[in-house]
Amino acid sequence: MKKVKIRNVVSRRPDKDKKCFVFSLICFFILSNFYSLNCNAENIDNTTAKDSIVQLSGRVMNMNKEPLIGATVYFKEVNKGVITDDNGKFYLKLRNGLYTVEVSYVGKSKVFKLNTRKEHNPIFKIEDNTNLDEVIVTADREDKNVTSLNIGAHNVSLSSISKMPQMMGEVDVVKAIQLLPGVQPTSDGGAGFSVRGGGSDQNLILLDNSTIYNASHILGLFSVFNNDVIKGADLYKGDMPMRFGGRLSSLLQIHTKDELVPKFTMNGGIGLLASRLTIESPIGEKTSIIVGGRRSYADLFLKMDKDHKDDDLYFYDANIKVLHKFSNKNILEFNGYIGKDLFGMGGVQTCYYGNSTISLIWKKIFSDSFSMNLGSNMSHYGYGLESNLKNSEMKWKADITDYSGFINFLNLVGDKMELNYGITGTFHLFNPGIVTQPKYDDFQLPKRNALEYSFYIENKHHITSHFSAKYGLRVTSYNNVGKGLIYNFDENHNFTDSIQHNSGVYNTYVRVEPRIGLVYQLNETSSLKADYVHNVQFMQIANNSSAGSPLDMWFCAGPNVKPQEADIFSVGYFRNFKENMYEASCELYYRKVKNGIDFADHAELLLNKKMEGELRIGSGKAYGLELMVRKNSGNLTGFINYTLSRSTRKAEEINDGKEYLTPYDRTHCINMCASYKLNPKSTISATFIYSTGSPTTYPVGRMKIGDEYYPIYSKRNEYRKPSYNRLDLAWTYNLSYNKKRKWKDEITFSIYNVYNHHNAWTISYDSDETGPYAEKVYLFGLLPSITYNFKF
Amino acid sequence: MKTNLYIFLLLCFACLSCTERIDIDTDDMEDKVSIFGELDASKDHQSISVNKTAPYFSKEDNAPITDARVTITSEDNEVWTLSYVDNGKYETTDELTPLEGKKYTLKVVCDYNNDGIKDIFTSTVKIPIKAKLNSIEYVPDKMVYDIYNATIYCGDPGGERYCMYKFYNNGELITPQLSDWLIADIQFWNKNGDINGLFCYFFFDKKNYDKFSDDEQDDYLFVDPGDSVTIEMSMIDKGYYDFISQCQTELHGENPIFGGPAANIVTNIDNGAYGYWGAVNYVKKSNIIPQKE
Repeated sequence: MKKVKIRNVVSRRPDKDKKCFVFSLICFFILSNFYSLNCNAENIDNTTAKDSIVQLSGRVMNMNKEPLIGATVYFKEVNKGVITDDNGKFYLKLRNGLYTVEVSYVGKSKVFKLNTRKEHNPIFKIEDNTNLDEVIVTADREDKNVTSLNIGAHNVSLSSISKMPQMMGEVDVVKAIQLLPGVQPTSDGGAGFSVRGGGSDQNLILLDNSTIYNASHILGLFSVFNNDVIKGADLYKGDMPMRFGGRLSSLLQIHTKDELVPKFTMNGGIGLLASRLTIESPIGEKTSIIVGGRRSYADLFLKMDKDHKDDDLYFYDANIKVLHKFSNKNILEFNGYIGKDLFGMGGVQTCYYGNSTISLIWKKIFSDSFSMNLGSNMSHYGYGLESNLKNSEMKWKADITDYSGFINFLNLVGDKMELNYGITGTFHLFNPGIVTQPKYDDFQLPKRNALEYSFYIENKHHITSHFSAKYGLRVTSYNNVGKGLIYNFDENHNFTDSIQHNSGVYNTYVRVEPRIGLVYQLNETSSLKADYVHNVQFMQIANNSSAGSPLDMWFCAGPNVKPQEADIFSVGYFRNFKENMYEASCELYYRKVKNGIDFADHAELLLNKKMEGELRIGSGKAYGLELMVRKNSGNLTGFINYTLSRSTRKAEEINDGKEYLTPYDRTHCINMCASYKLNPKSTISATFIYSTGSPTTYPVGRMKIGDEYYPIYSKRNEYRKPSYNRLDLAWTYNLSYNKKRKWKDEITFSIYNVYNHHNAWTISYDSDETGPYAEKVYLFGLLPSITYNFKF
Repeated sequence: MKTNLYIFLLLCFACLSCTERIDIDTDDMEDKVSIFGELDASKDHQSISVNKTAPYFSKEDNAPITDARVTITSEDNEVWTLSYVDNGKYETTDELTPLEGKKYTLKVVCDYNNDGIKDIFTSTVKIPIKAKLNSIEYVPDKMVYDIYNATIYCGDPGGERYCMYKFYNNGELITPQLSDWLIADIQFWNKNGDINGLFCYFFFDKKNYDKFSDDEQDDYLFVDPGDSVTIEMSMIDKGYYDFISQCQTELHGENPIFGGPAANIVTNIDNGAYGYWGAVNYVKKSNIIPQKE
């Protein structure tokens, strides 16, 4: 029946990808049904248990029988979890029954079966994590793929990242995110990414609750996240937790490590491009600190060349985290980040950019059913350009600063409802640019301030043992406040007049964002999910390019710029096999955007006081199919995913008002990533990527001016660049395996783009004596690298 | 200023990128008319070129339109006829020195697609005021290699604050093609004051010529100490500024970092023609490239 129904649906799809779409679906469901014959579902239903309440008193230990402090013990059937105390003990009241218990500790997790009628004092033994090659960070249930109320959500574990082949040996969480279904890098090698056809500025990127406005180092070759200090990453494609909003496409949460460390450890790595060092240390019994940093050293090599001895080219970043546990139910954490990229040419011209963030978060568990998170944070992104050319001394600076606060409550109501509610508020300060020169007046682009605050409430409702729902509302008020110079434009986008606002609120948008998600668990290993979300975005990047640049500056909604809004519908079928060793999913999504922002042809976006006159407002839509199969355990781990998608826009005056493909449209995309443990010392891994070429505009004619040919272009994005494909390989060798020493080390050899495929970054045009020709510009050919990692 | 920034950051990326020729398959557009010319108040004869467009990758040169009727009419209804010379170029036979502040209309009549119908293409421009260029100075400096900053001194131009420059080295035009011309939006400088030391370009010292790649040698301008370098400067209107800017941006296709999607260059000629008819009013100043101390 299922097959027939889906075929009928897709048979109405008029586009040429129909056959592929149908074929993919059929393969997926055949695969699912085949495996279902071989899997014995063990259905444990505790909701009908009428037994009496029992007080559990258990303990979590490592294999050496040492108590593990701060381990998470999670009882699946009742959605309850506790954290072990300083003696590794935990206490919990439950109804008697048979439970599935997941125990997690610093990167390790294990699932146990517990019958409380027989055992009131269980002892769970789990490996703790001290070896470099055994880092698996997950606080998630192993069957989260099936049971979670989220659709389009992915957790990226440290283990999967660290074993992936990496460009120039630098482990990068964002590059790992780009391999997920529905996610595309916005350019080859870049740190920007598009989620389900949205722009890169439609992703909210948070590092410990603080917004990262530009997540790239070296014009996007690396992300700003140091893998040594992060615990993991969560990507939510569209349906993000209710506490968060303000972006149409996705939320990427980067979490730094948040466990008390029992002893001093140091880890780091030496790569071809950069080195890093992270120190973790306890301060007393209840406090620990993590300090990590990275620094590139290309500039040191530059100085060996006398022509470039005055040049600068480097990036650095540093993270700090101080964690204090008054008790396991009362935790305070401070996070800080600073990073900077700098390019300097002979001391004459310098360009720099960077993020900085700080946050303070208090987590308080008042009771088994009521907890609170309270926090505040500051985010800053800025760039600058300085010229010391004689007679042309100049400084150009721009930045954006956010001051935010939030309070979030989690209230368990009975066994079936989980209420999540709170308030968030952010004060944004936009300084789009100021140019200062010694001889002339300052050139200041109009500054803007905005106050954004939201109230939200969400209920996760476990209606029956098989059927759960989450539903909630987020109400956001976005206010332009304080001083603001507003330029007005007529219907032809010509400047008409301006209004200077000096104080108070001069413009307000209130938007309601309903979000609803349903999951119907067919059995213990499979489920059907559906959700609808309405997302609103009040600020965006003033950039018209596909790759993004350090000079991207954010601008806010205002009297001339309405918030962008998206309605996103998703459905999915999720299936796990062989006790969660394999995960599979099939998701379909449809996204419709209102008030979508694009820019006029030849838009002047930098240092333009009347930049809002370059905006062209329209609509957009995106839809697609995402298939994913993942193997989570065993010597061979990895995943393969396939995405079939389309993303279009329509805006006044662009492409004669007709619909056109967005730069992020990829009809087909296949990502494969596998890691194989050859023996306890060696692991090999491989990544393969294929995607349809990105849409582009090719010249179809030319005019002649002087001796030069100037192109006359096709309709916008009427053609496609050549398809993208790449294979990367890596071999990691553990140098300290079985050696009884504190110093643990490993070495990783990587080859990026093994078969040296020249993927087009862009297509350029030129001419010689034979006439005009096209050139493919590519960034990376075969790129070997070696990295040494250590820990003690 | 922004141009300098682009050059600077693109140099960083250029270090990483490589190129190789590829064949791309595109549909060819039908023939259209392309017209280009400058109405130059510093000259007493004017010219324009009238050609057909061509498929972009065609190995044949754009075909000239040889039988067009081309006229320029002043706002006082004085009419000048331009005669065909060669290679699509038409030139006034009578003397025409356009006057500052006056409007002139170009009219091109031709049957470019041989359908038996003569199509009419027109464009109107206004001669800009002359730039109050007082002097130019070449200041030795260094940006990896030795350079000379071309710095201009001029009075407040008033009006629209867009200008363009061409350079001559020892009397020879070293920026002959449109892609070489330099344009500036001088809104950053005082609106009601003289421009005392506006950096407009830099020249590399020819002694380091061999240290640059072939492409860089084509792209950059090189001079020797002792050379007499002349700047030719004109104020222009925003339309012509945009046209030159768009030509230079679109010449080599889209720029994934700093540019938007490739888009067609906006014309000021009606009836579907491509190209532009610009108005300029050049003034020249020269100076000697100094010896580096």
